Amino acid sequence: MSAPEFDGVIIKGINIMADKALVEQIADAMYKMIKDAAGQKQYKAMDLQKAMRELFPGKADKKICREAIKILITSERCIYTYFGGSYIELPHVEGAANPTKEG
Amino acid sequence: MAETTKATGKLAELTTGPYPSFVKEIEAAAENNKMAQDLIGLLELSYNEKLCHWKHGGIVGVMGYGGGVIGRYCDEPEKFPNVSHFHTLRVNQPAGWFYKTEALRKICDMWEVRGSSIFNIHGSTGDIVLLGTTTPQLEPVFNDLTKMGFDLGGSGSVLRTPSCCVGPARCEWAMYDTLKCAYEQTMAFQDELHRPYFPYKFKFKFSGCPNDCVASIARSDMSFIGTWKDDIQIDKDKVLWYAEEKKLDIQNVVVDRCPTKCMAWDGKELHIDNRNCSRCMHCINVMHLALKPGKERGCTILLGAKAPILEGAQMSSVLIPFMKMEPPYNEDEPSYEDLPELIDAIWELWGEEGKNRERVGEFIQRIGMSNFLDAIGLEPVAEMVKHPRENPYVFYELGDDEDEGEEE
Ligand code: HEM
Ligand code: HEM
Ligand code: SF4
Ligand code: SF4
Repeated sequence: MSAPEFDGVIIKGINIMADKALVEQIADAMYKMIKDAAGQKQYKAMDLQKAMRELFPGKADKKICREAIKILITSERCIYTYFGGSYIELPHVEGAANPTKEG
Repeated sequence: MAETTKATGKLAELTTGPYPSFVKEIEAAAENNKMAQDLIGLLELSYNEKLCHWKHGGIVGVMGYGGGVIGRYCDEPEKFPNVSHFHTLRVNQPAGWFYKTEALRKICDMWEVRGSSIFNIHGSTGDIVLLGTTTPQLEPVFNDLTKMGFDLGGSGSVLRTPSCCVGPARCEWAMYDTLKCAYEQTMAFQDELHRPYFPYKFKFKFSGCPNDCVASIARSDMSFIGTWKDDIQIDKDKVLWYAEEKKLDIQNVVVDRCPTKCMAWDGKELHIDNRNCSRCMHCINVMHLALKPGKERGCTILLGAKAPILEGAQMSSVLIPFMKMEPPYNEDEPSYEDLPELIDAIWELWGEEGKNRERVGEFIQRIGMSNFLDAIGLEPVAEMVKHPRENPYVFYELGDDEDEGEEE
C-alpha cells in the first residue's frame, strides 16, 4: 500500500486546505521535535500538540495538530508505537522483533 | 522441529475435561497450520517451565493506524520459528455481533492462510480477535478485511471499539437502541478510534437495560445503561398467577431480595415504592410476565470503570442519571443530541490534564469529582453520590468560588 497523498480535507467545518501550508509547517516542527528527542524521550500526540501551541501561538489548534500528525504518519516519516501507552516516533526496528522466513 | 499436532503432558490434560478446550481447538488447527503446530510446542514448554515465552512488540501496525494490532514475538524463535511472530489483530465487530455465515466463512478462509487459523469471538473488548500472524502479513490481512467490509478495532491509547448488547434486535428489555447508538459512536469517532490522541485507552459500552449484558459498568470508561423514569408496570392478575399457579414465593424470592427494600407483598397485592427503586431489574427478571419497566425510557450514563493496572479496579459511577435517547426531546433534560458535546468536554479535559496511562476514572479521583464536574460544566446531583460519606466531619466552604475555574 502506498502512502495516500495529502490533498486537504474538510474536518468538522474547518477548511484544512486553506491552512495547508501551516499544517505542513507544524508537521515539520513536530518532526524536528521527535527527531531531536529520538532515543531519549517518547512523545504522545498531546505532548506534540502542547508544544506546538507554544511555538505557534493562536494557530496550532487541535484540528490542525491532528492533521499534522496524520501527515507525519501517512508520509511514513513517523510511526505510532506502543509501550504501555501510544507514542509517535521515528520508524525503527524494534528490539523484540524476530526475523521471519517471509522477510 | 517436528510437526506437533497433539498436545502432551500438562497441556494435554486440558483436553480431558467436559468443558470446551482451547487445546483441542489448537490441535484441530495444527492439522493444517504450521503456526498452530508451533503454538502447541511453545505452550507445552511454558506449561512445563511455568514461564511465559512471549515478548511484547510495540511498533507493528498497519499503515496510518495507531491501533488494532497487538505485536507479539516468541523468545524461542529458533525452536519455534512459525510462532516467531504472533501478532493479534482486533477487528471491529458489527453492533450486537450479528453476522451472515458468509461473512464468518470469509474471515475463516482468510485467516487459515494468513494467520494461525485461531481466533476468538468475542472477548471482553467486543472485537473479533484474530490470534497470531507475522509482520509481513499485517497489510495483506488488513486489505482482505477491508474488501470484506471489516475494519480494525482499537488498541493502545485510543477510543476502543464501541460495543453493545443485542438490545432491541433480540431483547424485550432494551430501553433504547443500543445497536444504533454503538454504530453511530463508532462512525462519529473514527479518528479517535484509529489514531491515539488520549492519555490512555477509553471505552464505551452500551447495555439496553440494568441487566447490563456487556458488563459496561465494570468494563467501560463510559457506560450507557438503559433505564426508565416512571413507575414499574404491574399486571396484578399475573402477580397472583405467579403466586398461586407457579407457587412463586414472592416474599422470599422477590421482595426480600429487592436491594433497596422498596417492595411489599401482602399475599394478594404487590406494592412498589418507585421513588426508592434503584431500577436494578431483579423483580422484573423474576416475574417478567407480571412486571415491566416503565414507559418513559432512556439511559443512565456512568463514568470511570477500569481494571486494576495503575490503581485498583473500579466500577463506573453515575454522571447523567437520565438521558432521553430518542425524540421528542425536552428542553430541560439531557438528550442524545447533547451526547457529542458531553463526550467532547470529557475528552478535552482528560486529554489536556490526564497523566500518561491515567484512565478517566483515576483522573477524576485525582482531581476530585467536584472539580471535574465544574470543568466539564455539569451540575452535581444526588444520583452521582456513589456511597454515603463515612467521615462525619463535614466542612462547608462559604467563600465565593467565582474566580476559580476561569481557565482559557
Ligand atoms: C503471543 C502471546 C500472547 C500475548 C502476549 C497475549 C496478550 C494479550 C493481551 C495484551 C490482550 C489484551 C488484554 C486487554 O484487552 O486488556 C489479550 C487478549 C486476549 N488474548 Fe492474548 N495474548 C497472546 C496469545 C494468546 C493466545 C495464544 C490466545 C488463545 C489461543 C489468547 C487469547 C486471548 C483472548 C481470548 C483475549 C481476549 C480478547 C478480548 O477480550 O478482546 N491470547 N492477549
Ligand atoms: C472450568 C473451565 C472454565 C470455566 C469455569 C470458565 C468460566 C468462564 C467464565 C465465568 C467466564 C466469564 C463469562 C462472562 O461473564 O462473560 C469465562 C469467559 C471466557 N472464557 Fe472461560 N471458563 C473455563 C474454561 C475456559 C477455557 C478452557 C477457555 C479457552 C478456550 C476459556 C475461554 C474463555 C474466554 C475467551 C472468555 C471470555 C473472556 C472475555 O470476556 O474476554 N474458558 N469463562
Ligand atoms: S442488557 Fe438488557 S436489553 Fe441488553 S440484552 Fe441484556 S437484558 Fe437485553
Ligand atoms: S427493580 Fe430492583 S430496586 Fe426496583 S423494585 Fe424491583 S427489585 Fe426493587
